[in-house]
Amino acid sequence: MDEILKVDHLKAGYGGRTILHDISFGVKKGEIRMILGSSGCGKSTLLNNILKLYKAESGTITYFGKTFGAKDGLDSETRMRTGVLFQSGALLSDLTVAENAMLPLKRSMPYMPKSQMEAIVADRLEKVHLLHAFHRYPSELSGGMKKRAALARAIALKPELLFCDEPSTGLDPVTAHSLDELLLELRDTLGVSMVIVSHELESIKIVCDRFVYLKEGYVHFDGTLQQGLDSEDPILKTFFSRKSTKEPKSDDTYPFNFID
Amino acid sequence: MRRTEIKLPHNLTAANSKELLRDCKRALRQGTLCLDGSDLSYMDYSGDAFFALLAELSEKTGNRLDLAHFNDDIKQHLMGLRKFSIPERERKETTNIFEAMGGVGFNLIQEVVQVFILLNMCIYWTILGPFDKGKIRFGGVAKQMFRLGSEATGICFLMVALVCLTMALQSSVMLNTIGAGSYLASGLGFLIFAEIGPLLTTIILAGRSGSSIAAEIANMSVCEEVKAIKTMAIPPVQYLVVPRFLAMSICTPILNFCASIFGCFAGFLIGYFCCDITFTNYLQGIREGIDPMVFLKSTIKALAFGWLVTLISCNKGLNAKGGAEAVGLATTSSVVTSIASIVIADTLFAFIFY
Repeated sequence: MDEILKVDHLKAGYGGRTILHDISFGVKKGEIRMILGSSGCGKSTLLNNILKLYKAESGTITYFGKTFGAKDGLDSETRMRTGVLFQSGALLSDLTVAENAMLPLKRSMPYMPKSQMEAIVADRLEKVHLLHAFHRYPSELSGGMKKRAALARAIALKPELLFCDEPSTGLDPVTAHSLDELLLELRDTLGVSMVIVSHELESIKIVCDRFVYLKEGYVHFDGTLQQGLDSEDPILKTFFSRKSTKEPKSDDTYPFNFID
Repeated sequence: MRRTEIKLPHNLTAANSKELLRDCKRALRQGTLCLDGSDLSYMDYSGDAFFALLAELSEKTGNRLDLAHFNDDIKQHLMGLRKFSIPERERKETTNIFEAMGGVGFNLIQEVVQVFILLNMCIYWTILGPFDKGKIRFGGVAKQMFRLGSEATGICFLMVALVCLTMALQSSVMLNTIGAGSYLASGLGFLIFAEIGPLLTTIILAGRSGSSIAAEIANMSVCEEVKAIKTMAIPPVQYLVVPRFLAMSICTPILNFCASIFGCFAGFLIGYFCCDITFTNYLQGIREGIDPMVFLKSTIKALAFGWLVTLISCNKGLNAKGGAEAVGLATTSSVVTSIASIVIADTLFAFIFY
């Protein structure tokens, strides 16, 4: 299968601090690729750099065969072939759910009649089971509904590649599970490839095809979910078994002088 | 060497450990300290720190710390107490006064450049953009005109009218003493249109509408909404700044004109009651004081000040990073910078125009 996204020797950070070192991986057409790691390991920074929202220090990113350098921004054409679901949903609060989902359409096809745009948006909202919230504002939605509304906006242009930043974080287990199933459904119906940043074990086991595991800004593991689950690597074992790695305590005690 | 014995209370808690620790430390600095724990049966979270700090002081001074007659549970607990060290705070590189001044100057220049870039982009998206990449959101412009302009009408009119009323009153006293009360209208008219109108209107707009722009856009930056706009291939300047820029470009000159008229009417009240000027004479005086050039200059000033308020506020909002604190900082900073810029620009205009 062809790789539709290729990250090559990416080095990036912010505020003069390098967070990501020599990150390389690819995403094949139709696969769900996850970026895993513990909190603060650079997952979201990596996603922001892949999306070219920050400028990297070095390395290249290739989208659909088109290579972008460290300091390049993404062109409009590439952006329109991708969709992004942010962790908070990032819906524009002064627009209704439908107007939010209509934004990418207005940008890519400014002269399309409004009725046609509404029909497309209704279809996308139907896909995420949120058609009833067509005219509602983000402030009137629950956390899970906001994520689904943001997902409808992300898939408005039928993107070939969908990025999701911690899609199920902050949701109750039932809503998180339904969102995971929704992502799988979208992959199957729209054929969209996905890059998902997550550390939710349940979600990983449901949706992941292949994953990269980041540790301290480096790729620690790159492989399929099964390979990861079978791995004897202590870090992966700890991650998948949900056991915390406690820092060893100091053996040094205070020399109290007890007198009876 | 001096030896002090202190009897510990039945309960060692946060409520009584502070004073006890002070006494124990004083005693330990002077010599051997023996803590009698025969009564001690309970200690809360502050107890660990109490004994750890005394043990550290004992090590530091070389004076013995004896713990006498402690019950087995507390003894066991204290023997398991492990040493900790609080990590040192990362030290920031100190800068001397010249470096600090250079930094402030650099930031200032950077901000001025950013505002000019924003102005260029706004002009591009207003004039050329619609033919090239995307339409102007006229709905958005109308909405911003209502929020930034119409809703500020009341406060602008009231402030300008009150200031003009006060100025007219003070001027009338002086003019009446030299028998020149009839000149009140022409002098006041000129001053209102040339200075008070544009200056006061835009300062009020900076406080009301500018702060609203900065807070709204800063909140969008902090909540990833600006990022989301970028990922949809929509330039944030086109979507967020241009509608506000156009709205303020239309509203500020209109507000300035209307507020100035209001100010003139407020002045008329003083002219009528204090200087016996009739309405016809007052109007005549106003017409003499304001030639078309004064009106044009007033409009140009209002437009330029309105642009300053919008661009500075948008720039502060777009550059906001962090959390709720960043929103507050962007808002405050936008108001202060806008007002300072308006006053500086007003001085420049005074040299250019008059």
